[in-house]
Amino acid sequence: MDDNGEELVKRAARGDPEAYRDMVTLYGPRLFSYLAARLRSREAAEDAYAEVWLRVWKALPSYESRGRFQPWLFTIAHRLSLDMLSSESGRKSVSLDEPVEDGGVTLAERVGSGEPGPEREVLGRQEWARASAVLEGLPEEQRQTFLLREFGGLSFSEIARAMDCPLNTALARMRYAVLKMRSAVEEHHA
Amino acid sequence: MHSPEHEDLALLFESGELDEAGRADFERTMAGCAECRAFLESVRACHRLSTSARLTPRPELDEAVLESGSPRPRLLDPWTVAGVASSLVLAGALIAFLGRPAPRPADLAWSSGLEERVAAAGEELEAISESLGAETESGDIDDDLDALESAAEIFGEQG
Ligand SMILES: [Zn+2]
Repeated sequence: MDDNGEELVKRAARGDPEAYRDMVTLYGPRLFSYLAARLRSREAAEDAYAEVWLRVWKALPSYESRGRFQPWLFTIAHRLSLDMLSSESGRKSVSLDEPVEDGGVTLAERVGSGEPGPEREVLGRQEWARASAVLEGLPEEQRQTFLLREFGGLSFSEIARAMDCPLNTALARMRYAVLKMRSAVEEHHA
Repeated sequence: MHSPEHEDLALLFESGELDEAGRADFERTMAGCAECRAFLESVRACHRLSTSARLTPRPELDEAVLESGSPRPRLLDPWTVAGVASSLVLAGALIAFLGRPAPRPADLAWSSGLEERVAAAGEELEAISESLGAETESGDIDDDLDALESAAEIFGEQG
């Protein structure tokens, strides 16, 4: 996907509208999932999603291949969510366990009912709901690291750069996050 | 003896950040360490879980995103300026699309931030128009600026 993605980005930067459309389609679900989990609200995720693409679109003509596109995209998303969370600290966010206003289902259930796929059948909503509750309880830096890795697909060096921390710190944060997620999933199977 | 360093290596192994020698080293370590294997399996389980939890944006949202931004040619010409103006209008439309009928007070900070961005973009556009001067057929740009102002008004209404 990455090579294909990089090629699309190059074509989009040269002004190819088809490539831009394909690029949004390719990276959209990852980006949206990241923002929904990060901002804990579908509504805020939609605002952020539009804003991230607007920023990408503005920067795209001057985008040269400065490394991989995906980390660049998710660094924009990471910074924007930090800004949104800090400027909206008074705004009520929707917890994954709380019903969202337009239907009475929780965000965790929605997350669980996202893209269809055989893996979801095996893992199930319950498992994700449990995992997302653990994710909610993680210290902020561990949660950010986990989301950048798992939804953003960033390498640990890229996460360290995006979060402005040493590589070892990024690794330690992920390590704790994985161990906590593991105990949640194992409890479920026990 | 298993250690946190093994787990760091497992993470780097899984993310593809070890070179060939590093991978071979870790594979040997893992062969003799059950905890390393269990940790790596947990990393993979987290990955499967996250993949299964992928959300798709609403198609209308993607359409709005695609309408509001399409790649610009690198060279600035009058058509580009008109294009930028149209895109800004579309950005306004996108914001209108995203706006909720009754924003909560805390939403105001956000929408006013966007309003500032549209205003700043309008100024940027005027500066570009000025720099292009008499060579530019400015009628279309004026129309676009009017439309841009309307978009900013839609914003104001939301705020
Ligand atoms: Zn070990």
